[in-house]
Amino acid sequence: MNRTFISELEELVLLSVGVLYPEAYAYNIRLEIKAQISKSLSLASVHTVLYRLEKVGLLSSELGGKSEKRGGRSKRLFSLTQHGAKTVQDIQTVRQAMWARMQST
Amino acid sequence: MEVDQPPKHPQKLLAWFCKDEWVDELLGDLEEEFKDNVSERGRRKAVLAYYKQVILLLRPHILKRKEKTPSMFRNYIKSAYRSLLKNKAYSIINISGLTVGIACCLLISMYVYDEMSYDKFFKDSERVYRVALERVYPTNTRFFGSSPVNMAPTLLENYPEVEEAGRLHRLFFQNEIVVDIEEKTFIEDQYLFADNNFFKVFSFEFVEGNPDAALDAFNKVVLTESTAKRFFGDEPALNKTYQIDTSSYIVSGVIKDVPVNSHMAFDILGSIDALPFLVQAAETNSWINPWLFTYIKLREGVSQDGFEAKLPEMVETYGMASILSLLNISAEDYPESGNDFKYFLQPVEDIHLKSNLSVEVRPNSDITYVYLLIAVVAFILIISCINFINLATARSAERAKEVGVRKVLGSRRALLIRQFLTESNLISFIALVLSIGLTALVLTKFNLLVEKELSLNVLTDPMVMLGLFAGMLMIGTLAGLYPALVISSINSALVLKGKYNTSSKGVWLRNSLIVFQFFISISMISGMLMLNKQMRFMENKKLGFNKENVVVIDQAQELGQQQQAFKNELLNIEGVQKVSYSFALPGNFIGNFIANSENPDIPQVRTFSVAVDDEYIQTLEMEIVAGRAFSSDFNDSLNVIVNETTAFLLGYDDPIGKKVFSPSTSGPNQSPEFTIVGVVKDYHHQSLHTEIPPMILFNTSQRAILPRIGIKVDGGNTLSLLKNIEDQWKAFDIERPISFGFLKDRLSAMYDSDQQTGKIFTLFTAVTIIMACVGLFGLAAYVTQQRTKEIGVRKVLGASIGNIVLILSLNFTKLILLSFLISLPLVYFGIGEWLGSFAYHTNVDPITLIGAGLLTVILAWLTISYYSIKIAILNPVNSLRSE
Repeated sequence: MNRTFISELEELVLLSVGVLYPEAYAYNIRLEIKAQISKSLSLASVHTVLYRLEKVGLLSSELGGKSEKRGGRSKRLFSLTQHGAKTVQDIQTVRQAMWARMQST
Repeated sequence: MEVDQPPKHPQKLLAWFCKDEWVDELLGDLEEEFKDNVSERGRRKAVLAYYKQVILLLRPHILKRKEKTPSMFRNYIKSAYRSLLKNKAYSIINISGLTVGIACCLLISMYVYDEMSYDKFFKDSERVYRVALERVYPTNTRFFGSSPVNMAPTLLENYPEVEEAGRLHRLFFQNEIVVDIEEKTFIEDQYLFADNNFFKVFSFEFVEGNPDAALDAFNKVVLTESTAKRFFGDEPALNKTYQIDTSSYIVSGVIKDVPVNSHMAFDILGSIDALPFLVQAAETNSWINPWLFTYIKLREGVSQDGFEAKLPEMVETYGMASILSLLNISAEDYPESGNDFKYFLQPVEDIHLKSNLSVEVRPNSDITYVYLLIAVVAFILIISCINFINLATARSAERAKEVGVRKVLGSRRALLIRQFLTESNLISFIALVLSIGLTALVLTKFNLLVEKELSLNVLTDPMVMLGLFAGMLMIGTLAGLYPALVISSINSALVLKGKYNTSSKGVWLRNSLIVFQFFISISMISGMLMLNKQMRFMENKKLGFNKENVVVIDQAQELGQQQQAFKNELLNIEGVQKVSYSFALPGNFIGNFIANSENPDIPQVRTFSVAVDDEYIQTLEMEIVAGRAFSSDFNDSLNVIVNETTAFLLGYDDPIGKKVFSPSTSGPNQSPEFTIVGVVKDYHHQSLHTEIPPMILFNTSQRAILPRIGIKVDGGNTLSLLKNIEDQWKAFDIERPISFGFLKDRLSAMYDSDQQTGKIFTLFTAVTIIMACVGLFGLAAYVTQQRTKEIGVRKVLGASIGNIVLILSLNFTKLILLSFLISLPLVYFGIGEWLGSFAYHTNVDPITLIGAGLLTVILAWLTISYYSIKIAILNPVNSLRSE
């Protein structure tokens, strides 16, 4: 299996992007993660993770979606690349396979 | 709405540090969060959260890259590196010059640092002082580092300012003590004596034993660690005993070895109570004999001057009674008598460099020596900087095109200056690294030369590293600044049209720097030549006796009653001419004698005195100018021989038969009245640094046991002769090995420190002149290159090779002659001043100075001749066809 290995935080961010698409941007992702694991992440940590994931090619981004609430500033909207989508898929497959064997014993 | 706006400051902060591409989106995200927070938790908390998030955003990948400067800096380094490679000869000259300069600087700094570090390792050393004495005699004044026995206890008891007071004694008349441990015998020449408080003043670290009771009994001794090991091997030395003659001493403590950088050096400390004459002086409360060193530790906050001011009153209160009775003067007469005892304090840290008194624990160094070396270092550094500046300005023609192109391409002047400074700093950095290597390489040799144990370990001190780095930056910047300013100021349009000519630019500065450089070189060469001349002068100076072919045997008292028998045996050895026993041979320590003239108007004369046997004067071939020498035909026990100075000071025109009176009974001879039977021509008992003092020679009885033998031998087969003498010593079954040598060698040892100065000075003079020549060499290369065409034209018009070499050399020769002229007065007066520090010295002679100038000119000619000849023999076709 030839894929990029990522940390749990990175996996969470990656999944959030998938869930929130097409409205996946930093603030939103933070809210999503907070809702899921009840832990508040700083903008800096999320930004760092997004930046890295984009750099390794799991995410792509574009600017857009200015809003009044943001003081008229644009958002950076993230989306999963094909590679990114395959990565989360692979992780899921591996885990399910292992869970299945754990229950069978 | 206004209420909902996020705080301004963190926004600005973020915009300042964050990469521009991200500022917008991050601010957007933050504002969204802020608005949610305001509605959920209130504005105050929202503002706090906003700050927190912004501060958390301070992460490396978010920060703006200072893209501009680092890449420019990389470019500087790159172009500096390329330019170094492109001009290899130039780079090598520059870097090697600076390397040698910095290495010399490092060596000398280490030396100076070491000299300055003396006695600073003691705890509270800044509060420790030595009480020294200015003794005023009716005829003269002498300074002693030592003071009376009861000084320390008196100060400690009566003056609350004195926290501790300790005493140290060095045997003045004996250099060695023989220690017996069971079967083994050790000869100890670093055997000093101290009192129990000594260790309270000086924080020596005890390995064994208790410092509080280390020397509280006369038979206790303290050893240094290495001595303890020598005596007792690896066993603990505490409570072990050893013998001196018949007395037994017990080791009560072992201390760490005394560091080399201390003004005192000892292997063993005995108790001063073991010395009867000190005990007696203490009991009788004698205040006139400065027999030991008094060290005091003042309480914190007590000033040296303040305490010093109390010392006259102390002498008055505690010492005057003793002084009056021992000098045999009444209190009324004392102020008129011309005697005085003035005490002063010497900070213990200053003793090594600043104290040169009549009695010292061991010979000290001299601060002027340190200053001289610092000056030499400064000269060497200046010369290497000058080389750098000269070469860089000379090369500016070459660099001008590069600068022109750079300017056309939009380089600002500040950037160009920075580029040149980077280049020079790169050179100085490389030189620094290389010089550390060079220093490590020559350090062992240098250590041998200066007799020190310097180590590169000081370089690991962060402060030293920082200092080195700062020094490197300073040299790089100083040397690079002028060329940078000049080259960067050129008009690019002119350069690119090919109209820029550098040969006129900076010539004035270049020439004056050359003059300065050679001014230093010539001064140092003259100094070196004069130093050598003085050394030769001292070697060849007529001393008033014949130092050739005299063998000295020390420790002759070991022979005891067999001295006469030993003498007879020596005389039987083939090649031995004369044998003489004496208290001291020239160069040895001698005692004092106070002499009064028959004429009551003549003030008393403090003379040096030495006890000699009947053959002394013949053995040393001294010249008797009046009367006779001591002789076995007479009973001379109450007769003396004086030197011319004594006769003069006593006011005797015809001294033979006149009397000499001794006012004190504490002299070497108890008898108060002597008759002069002969006058010996003034001779140098001491080194040539001091003037010949008044001397009196006493005759010893046949039975006296004397410590030294002088043997006049034939020149020639000295090796077998020495062997025979040694065999004879062994034949007398003396336990101690013989300690002997030639008088000539002993005397030249008195000038060891002068020789050492001479060697160091010669070494650094050589470095200076070599560096000046290397700089000249590089300069000549560029200057001749620039004149290639001119030379070509000259050759076409018929100039000979000789002509051209002459023309090319003339410029530099003029400069060097100018520097020679400038150096003349300085050298004349400066060296004259220095020579004046020798009581007997040679004179500054014009021949030496002219010799120094000629030597420099010849060296310079040789240096530039390489390029001059190279260009002179060049075929003019080659240099002219490219027009």
